[in-house]
Amino acid sequence: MKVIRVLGMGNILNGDDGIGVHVLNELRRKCLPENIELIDIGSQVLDILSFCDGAEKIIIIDAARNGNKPGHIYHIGTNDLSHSSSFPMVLHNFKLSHILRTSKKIFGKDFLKRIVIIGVEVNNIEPKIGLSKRMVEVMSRLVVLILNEIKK
Amino acid sequence: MGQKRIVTINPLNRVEGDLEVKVEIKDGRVVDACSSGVAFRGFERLLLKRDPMDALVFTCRVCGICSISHSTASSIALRNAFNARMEPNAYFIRNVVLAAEILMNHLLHFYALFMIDFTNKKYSKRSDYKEIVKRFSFLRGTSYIRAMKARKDFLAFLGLFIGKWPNTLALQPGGITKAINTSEIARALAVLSDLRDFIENDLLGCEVESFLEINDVKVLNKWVNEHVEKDLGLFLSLAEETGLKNLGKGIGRFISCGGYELPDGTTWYKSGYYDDKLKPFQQEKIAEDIRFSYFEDYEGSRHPFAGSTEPNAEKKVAYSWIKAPRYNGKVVEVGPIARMVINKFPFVTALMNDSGINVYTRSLARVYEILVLLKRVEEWIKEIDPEKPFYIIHEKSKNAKGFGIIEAARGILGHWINIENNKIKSYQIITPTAWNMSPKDSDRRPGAAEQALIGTPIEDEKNPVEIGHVIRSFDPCLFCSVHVMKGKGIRGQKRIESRGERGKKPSVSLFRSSKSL
Repeated sequence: MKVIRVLGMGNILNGDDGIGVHVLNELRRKCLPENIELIDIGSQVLDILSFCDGAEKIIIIDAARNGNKPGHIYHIGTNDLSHSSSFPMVLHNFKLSHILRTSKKIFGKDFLKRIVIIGVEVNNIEPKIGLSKRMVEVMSRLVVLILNEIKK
Repeated sequence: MGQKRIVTINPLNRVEGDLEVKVEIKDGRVVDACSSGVAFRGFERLLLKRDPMDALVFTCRVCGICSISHSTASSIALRNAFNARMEPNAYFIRNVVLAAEILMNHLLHFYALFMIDFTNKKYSKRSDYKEIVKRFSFLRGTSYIRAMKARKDFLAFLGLFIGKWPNTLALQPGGITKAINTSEIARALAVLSDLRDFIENDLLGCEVESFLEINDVKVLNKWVNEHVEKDLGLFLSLAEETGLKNLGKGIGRFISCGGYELPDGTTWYKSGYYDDKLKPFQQEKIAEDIRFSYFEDYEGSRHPFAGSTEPNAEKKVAYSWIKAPRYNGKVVEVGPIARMVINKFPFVTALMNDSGINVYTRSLARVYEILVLLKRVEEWIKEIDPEKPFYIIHEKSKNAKGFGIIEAARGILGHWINIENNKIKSYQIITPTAWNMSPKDSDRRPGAAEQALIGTPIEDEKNPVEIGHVIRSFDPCLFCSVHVMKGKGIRGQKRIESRGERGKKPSVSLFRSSKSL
């Protein structure tokens, strides 16, 4: 069976940072086929790799800060990720682009073709439960986007 | 010397992190250091007035790397408050997964952070530089990639025991809510054996057991000469020649709260307070000072049961969002080296007697603990009996207090809960990084890492890799940027203003940098 994995990233204790996980919760309400796996991986950017084995396609949803208006949706191919050659001071500072570069070495060059990243420009990142109004507004668009990705 | 020019360098070429270390250099040495947490976290406040059991849902998300550690501390605090009991199986499984999280942390720290520093251009004249770069380059090094793969493959191990990683809810006050059967145990042992293969083939070049037999420095030196082609051997030969023993001198005072509870009521790691001599550890002697932290002032220092987390971004003297925990009023160091000194591991004691507490001993103790824990995990798995229960249902108290203090990867982690009328009245967390990276206290005594930084010789101010070595030897759990200042006090007006500005938006706390994607 062709497995498609949707990875929601972010910390739900940090307001909009948890958008990825909130989207997953929304998707859980849909009747998705069995081959779609929804996984809340919290802020463990580092461990995305562990969730890539055996998946035909991996859709990552994450909060983004890229200078656009809150609610702006990025539909990102892996080549667009900024490549930083600096390295992290501590473990928390791993960037998604770092992990994806490492993934090529582990899973092979073609691996990145299996990955889709959906980012959402976020508003408030602060210790708080729940999303800001703008995030709630874009939720349905995000869900449709992901469902389309799943169907592709 | 004495120039008014301020040199602000971020040697890591990155935007600011959650932790900022500023050092002032004079005549090629660090003369002052300020370690500042630059973001208000205050997750404790989210817990107020909630159901006590919610703590389990929230606290595992406090840290992305130490999810199980927070779950463990939180569930122990609740168990303590509710007088809950656990079955032996629960003790062993909790120990297995906590130890697994910690040893994976250490492995990652070694490969993905610590060793990368040696690819710095400062070392480019070394004859083995090419080899170092080949193995340890960030994102490219052959050993780096193998270590990342080992971590990737290992996480299935945690899934088998506690259902998922991160943010599991399987760790409860009454034990473990996921039972494990014989075939799952067999699979877990196979995953563990792959990890052992990586450690023996790539890190050590010998069996774990034979390395653990080394108990003195002469034997270690001989071992290094024979194993330079492996990763630990290369590190140790580098460490000797690059003077890591002279960097990051420790204050020599340690605490360990004891770690890994056993069914007989004891802990596998013993607790203690080490200050030349070993004394008993008492949690009542923990208190937090906030003189230089962005929190509403209170008189003196407070035990976490009496503590508060009221932010005050305008506080003029403050320079950190981290509080300054002290033990019996003293600055202490926590971490793998602390627990291994207190537990009198002959290997670590020999290292300490030989060169004291420094970047070298701190880092080697961390790697050593990988091996120690791997062996323990194998033993604890054998103790699990799938036929016996894993969980005991418990009562909940309407009004109660409880605490859970554990040894996490970076040192002691404490959770204190106060329940009133079935609701959380107060919840306080003290992380290991707060102990090691704390700011100064009311008596103006710098924190453990600040003290370790003072005196550090800096060869090239534009490339202060030495500071990286010192900070990394503590493995701080917040991401960190470094600023070097020359000729002007680091506690000058400018810095305080900039803190204040940031303070107006006190809650920006990015746990991961994926936002910059």
